[in-house]
Amino acid sequence: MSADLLTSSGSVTSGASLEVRAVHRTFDGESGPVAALAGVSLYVEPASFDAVIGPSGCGKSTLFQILAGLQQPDAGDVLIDGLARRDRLGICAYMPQRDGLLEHLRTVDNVALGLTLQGVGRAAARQRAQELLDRFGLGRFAGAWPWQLSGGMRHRAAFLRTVLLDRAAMLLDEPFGALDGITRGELHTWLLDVWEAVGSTVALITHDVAEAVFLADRVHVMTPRPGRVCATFPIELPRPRTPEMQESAAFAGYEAQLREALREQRA
Amino acid sequence: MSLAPAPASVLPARRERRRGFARLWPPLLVLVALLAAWEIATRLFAVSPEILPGPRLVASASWADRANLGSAMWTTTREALLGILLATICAVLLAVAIDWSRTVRRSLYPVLLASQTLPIIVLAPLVVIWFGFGTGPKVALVALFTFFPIVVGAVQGLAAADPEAMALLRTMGATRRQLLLRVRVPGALGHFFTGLKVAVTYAYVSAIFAEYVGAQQGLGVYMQSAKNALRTELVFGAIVATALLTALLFGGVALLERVAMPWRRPAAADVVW
Repeated sequence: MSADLLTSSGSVTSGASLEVRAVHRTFDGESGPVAALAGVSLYVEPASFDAVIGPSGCGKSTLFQILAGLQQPDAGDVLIDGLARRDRLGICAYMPQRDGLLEHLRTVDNVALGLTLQGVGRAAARQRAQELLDRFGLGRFAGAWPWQLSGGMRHRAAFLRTVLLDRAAMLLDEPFGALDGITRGELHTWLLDVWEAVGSTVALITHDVAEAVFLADRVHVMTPRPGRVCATFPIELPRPRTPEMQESAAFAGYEAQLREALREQRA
Repeated sequence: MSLAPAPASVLPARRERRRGFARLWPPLLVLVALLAAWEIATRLFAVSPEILPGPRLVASASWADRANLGSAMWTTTREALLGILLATICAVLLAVAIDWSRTVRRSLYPVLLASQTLPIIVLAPLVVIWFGFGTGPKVALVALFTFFPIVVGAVQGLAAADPEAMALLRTMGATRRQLLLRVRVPGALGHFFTGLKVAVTYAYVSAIFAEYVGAQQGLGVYMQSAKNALRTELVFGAIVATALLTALLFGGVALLERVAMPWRRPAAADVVW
């Protein structure tokens, strides 16, 4: 499926596994060192969609920045596609909390950014970005400046930019945190459509229990700071997921389980 | 490849232009009223034209002397433009160096900021002593005057880059040079133009001051000789010419800003105006 849309570049295949083993990370705070992560272990299967959920300040973002290669752990291993790598920048695609669109680039050029940075010609990169935009309902907005897009559109464009990178895995750091509930619901279905088309591994940070259950194959629950993963729940709802499933008893059961796990952490 | 048209949220150009006119006429009205009051006052109180000539006399006398005034305007314009150009080139190079190297930022930038406690005007005689009476020292003085706002604007603009966008580009494998050219420089243009607009308002004033100190031609020389001949109306004419030229230069930079930053939201551009 992904072959016609994206051509694989680099040595790591799309749909790689992600693994962190006993990762520790401490920052220098104003009043002494602050442990952000204390022995996080996490495994995301190839081509799986996993969510990481936890209270704010539990180090979720730090964990993702370590996976992306923006930070190094003080201790522990990071394995991508089974290989420990120190220089991880450029291996996983990363989507920050805000959309990170560059205001001086039209939508199509923002989506094509990763390709042009790699040296792909502007025309070729634009064409691939345009194809992706057309296919996932943003074609009309290709020539718009970012300020002309709605919040939901900006996030769609930002996500397609992440997709077009065609990386080992996609790390989404609370991509929908800033959006209203209705837009968020629309984006969930849209995101799953895109994901099923490209077959990449996705790890998503959220603090929304329903979002985690609706999107993910597995939900990893993190403890408050210093963070570590304390429980993993497989979500065995069939795919493709539909919004109606959110009304099902099974869905409510998963939500209850997760809420319970989060409550235990707070206590 | 053709791009899809932008969505309908863009203001139609015609409506925007009409709004421009709507904003233009109130200040014009005020200006006309002030000129009329000035003219009436000089006639009513029979003020000597050597003290305060009326606007009509200023206009007619300046028009009669247009050959001399025009060549003075040209000389000063050349000095102002060359000075701004020199200042911009130096300021941009220095700003990139300050942004690129921590050593430069920590050592040179504080000295640069402190240097602004020097009244640059007092450097004018020195510049004449060192570089003589030609165009060179005027250009140098204009550049000295206008350099600082440009460099500060550019440095602030480069430093204002969104850290999240920077992190994002790093995960895309961007090199430091790509980060500078793709994120920081385009992002810095807004601050840069703000600094440049402040700077160009000094350009003519500093060129004229440099001419006062020693020159053969230019608006400064024109004003001094008109003053010596007690032709006050011509002094006023030169003042008005300076104001118009400065406004023109400012407008030119504002236009350049719009062209250089097509991605700007129209409303935001209006605020900067």
